Amino acid sequence: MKKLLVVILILALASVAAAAGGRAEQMRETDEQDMKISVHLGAFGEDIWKQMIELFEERNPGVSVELEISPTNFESLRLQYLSGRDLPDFHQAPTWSLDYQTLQEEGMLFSYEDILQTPSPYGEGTFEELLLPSTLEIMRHDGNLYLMPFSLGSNGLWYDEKLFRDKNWSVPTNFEEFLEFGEKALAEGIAPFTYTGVHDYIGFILYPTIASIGGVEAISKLNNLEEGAFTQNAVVEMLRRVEMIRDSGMIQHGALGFDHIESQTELALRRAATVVSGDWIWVEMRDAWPDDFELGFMGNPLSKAGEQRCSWMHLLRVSVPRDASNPELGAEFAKFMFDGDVMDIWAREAGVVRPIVGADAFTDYLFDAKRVAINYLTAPDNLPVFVAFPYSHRELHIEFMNHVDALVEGVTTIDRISRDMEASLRRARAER
Amino acid sequence: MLFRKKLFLSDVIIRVLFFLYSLIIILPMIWILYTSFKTPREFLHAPWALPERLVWENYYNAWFSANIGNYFLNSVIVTSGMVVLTLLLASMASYTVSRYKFIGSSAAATYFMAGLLVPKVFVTVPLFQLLLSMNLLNTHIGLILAYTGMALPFSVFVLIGFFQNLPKDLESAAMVDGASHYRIFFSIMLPLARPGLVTVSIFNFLWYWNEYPTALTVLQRESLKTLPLGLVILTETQERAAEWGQLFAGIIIVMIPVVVIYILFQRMLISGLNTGAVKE
Amino acid sequence: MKKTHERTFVITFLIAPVITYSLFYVYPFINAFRISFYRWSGLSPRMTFVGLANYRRLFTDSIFYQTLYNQIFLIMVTSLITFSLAMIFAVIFTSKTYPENSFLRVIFFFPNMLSMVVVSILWKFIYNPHFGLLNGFLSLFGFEGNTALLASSSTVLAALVAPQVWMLVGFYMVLFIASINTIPVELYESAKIDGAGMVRQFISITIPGIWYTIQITFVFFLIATVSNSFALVRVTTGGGPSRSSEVVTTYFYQQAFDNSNFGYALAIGFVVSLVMFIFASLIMKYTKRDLA
Repeated sequence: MKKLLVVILILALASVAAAAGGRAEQMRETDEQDMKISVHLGAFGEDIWKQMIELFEERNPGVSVELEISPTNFESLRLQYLSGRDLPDFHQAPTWSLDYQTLQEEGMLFSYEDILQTPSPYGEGTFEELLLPSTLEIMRHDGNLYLMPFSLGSNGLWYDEKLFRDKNWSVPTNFEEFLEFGEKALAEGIAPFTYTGVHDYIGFILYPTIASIGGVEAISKLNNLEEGAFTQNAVVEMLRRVEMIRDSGMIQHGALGFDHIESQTELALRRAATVVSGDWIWVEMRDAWPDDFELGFMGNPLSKAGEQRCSWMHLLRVSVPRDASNPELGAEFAKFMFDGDVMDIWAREAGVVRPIVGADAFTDYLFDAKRVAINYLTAPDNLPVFVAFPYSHRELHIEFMNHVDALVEGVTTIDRISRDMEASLRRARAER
Repeated sequence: MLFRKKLFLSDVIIRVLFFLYSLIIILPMIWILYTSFKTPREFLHAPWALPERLVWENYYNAWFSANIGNYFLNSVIVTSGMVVLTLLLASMASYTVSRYKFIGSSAAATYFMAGLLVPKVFVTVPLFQLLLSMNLLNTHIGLILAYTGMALPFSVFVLIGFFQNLPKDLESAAMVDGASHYRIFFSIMLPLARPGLVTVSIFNFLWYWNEYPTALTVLQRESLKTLPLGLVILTETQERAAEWGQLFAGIIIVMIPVVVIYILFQRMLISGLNTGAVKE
Repeated sequence: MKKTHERTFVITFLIAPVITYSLFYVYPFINAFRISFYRWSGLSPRMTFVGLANYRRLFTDSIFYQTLYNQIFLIMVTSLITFSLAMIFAVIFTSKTYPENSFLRVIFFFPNMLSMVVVSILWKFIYNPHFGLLNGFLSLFGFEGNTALLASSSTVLAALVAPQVWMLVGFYMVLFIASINTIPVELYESAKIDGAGMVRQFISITIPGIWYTIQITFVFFLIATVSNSFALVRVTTGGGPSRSSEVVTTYFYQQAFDNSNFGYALAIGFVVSLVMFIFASLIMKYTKRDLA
């Protein structure tokens, strides 16, 4: 009996001690300012964040910044939001990893509006005037900016310039040329096109194609869940083009079972001539590229001659939780990211350009593949499209992409896709 | 003579088939082992080829740069804590419900075993809220308690079998000698049930050493995370080059303790299951 | 006097296990059930009571039915193959005395020491249509054409059976070996004298002798497969192509974390748990049989 009591007592004490330990840590007293940032250990690496912290502490005496960095930081962020504890004062996580839409709708984020009116950290005017007006417009939610556009990215179709040169293929710029190129590649025994069926990257070319055919209004219809959004011509015609690519045998066998790494490996091993991915592909696959590989960017070749060429604009966002212990300082840190020296470091070391007026000043520092992609995006004959639909209506987006995969596999029809998606739209509208 | 020959032939077939099946297991294992010595480039270009040279750095990097060493220590703390606590609580519960007849004794047994009939994966978030309100989030003790709650149904179920099979008049004989209920349990029953205790502990160790979703929910602080979380950090490849060699080195490191424990105890495991086999 | 001693003993011994189990396992389940009546993002504390709305959606959600079907398919096929193999192995290990037995027994158990995530990564490489082992193996027999089992909605579910069987056979084999060992040897000896062959002995002695173990382990398997298939599907196919390999647990995860729809996710969780519970109880009830 005594033994048992001792055991129970020890257990009880242990849990109390653990709890007390947790509390003591939070009550650390300082009269200086502390802040914590949570960032994703992704393409940027750890060093650049450490540099940022050092610089920020140097410019703001008395401030000390704690860094939380991990490739799974978004998992922790989710739970930190839910518990309201341990929230960082600034966070950066991949676009797909956190439901920013819900965070905005539920008022969990700190508005940047105040800090936007302060002087710009780079050049003249206010901070607001520094940011690209189009991105600001896209990002604002009910008149407030909660998601600070942090980097300008360009996603679409990638290819190997060396392979194209060797085979004497010209790089297709529209849909007609793309189909012609497909025949040539097939004749050489190389799959003209591959993508990941496991992830939703195919959207990087499909949504811009919808904009090419029906203009940005066609995208707005999707964003706003309008009736007929999936029966409109732009969507149906885009799906027809998918069918044509499928029927011409251009899509690599097995693509539906690939994750993104597998699909990109096919490009690196030159079994596939093009792959859909984001501009992180160069860094992500750095160990896989053959020595003579020259990564090139084809953007979106699904628009027909005469249509407006559109390609996917990728915006990484950074946020400050409203219930953070020091949100003002977090917003200050976000603004600091737009300091001239800081943007210089980012362009040089991480290949990141901020979506600002005059971003060209930084593109020269980018490594080749990324520069080519950004130049494609910002070229006068291209319309960069930011599609909010996949982020704001994730469930519908995933359903749509699943339908596309089924179309590629040949187990569904365009009619059925339109019908099913319209039904889901109705449900989503009713739920709102 | 004829009979013997026929027997011999079927034996050969069985042994060949068994040998082939063991290849299906051994070959992938060997692949995991030698892949842990490859560079990422070798891996992506020829995933099945042998490494050109042994890249021991993968192990060094996995242990130090990828912090596997720290995760390892955390896993040892959590798993051993969980195994011991579960053993104590499960043997107490199964002993009382199987050797004492009282109102609700069979109801109590059913209550514990009902836990076997539902999948655990759906409870992580309510568990998170519970630990949050108890100030046990981001503590090893919180995870140990959560694991113990989950492990009790299986452990109680196995141990009931053991205690039921022990001779009926043990207690009354000890009682005559003046031993208390507590002494009977700790100095007579527990030693007798040792094979069962070992069996339960090995299974719990095997399963919870590799447990992922609950650990993810309870531990967000990097310094507290366990091995399965650390491994997934190594596999997270989105927007980041995959360190395949390091990942496989990590897999090997995670496996070593399990393999050692299994090989040491496997005989005991089978004999433990023997004596405890539940009979109607 | 003796009785009160006994009562205090029973209470002190039961109280800690019951509290731990109730608090850390049963209570979260009950709480999950409660949350399924709310609309809740899982990102903020804000919850809105919506009554049966989540359940109403569930019963008209064709994706849910599809995932439930996939789950049950995986469970049934995987269990059938795993149990047959495990049983054959167990019978042979207990009736034959080959010198390599103890070595093989360890080997067969080996995959069980890996986590499902690792097993899934391994099998993804085996199945790769362009450099996977499976295609290399098939081409030895003249089957060219890069079979892509994971890329076709008609083969993907069947393809996901193999990794689970590969991983789990050893575990169930060990349980069966232990159980067969408890059957008195005399039963087999007298059967042999009566002229019963291997098959006959298996059907009339082994199966009844370990029936209870089969029953319990089957239920255990059922529940474990629900959890196992989550990691398997997420790592290998992500539920694709077009949800043809989506299972209830991955759908649950998607609703909870990707769509921030925790209330609905937990409604899925509750219904699945209920289905499993009923299924398991029925198996326990109807497979009960009297032992000679």
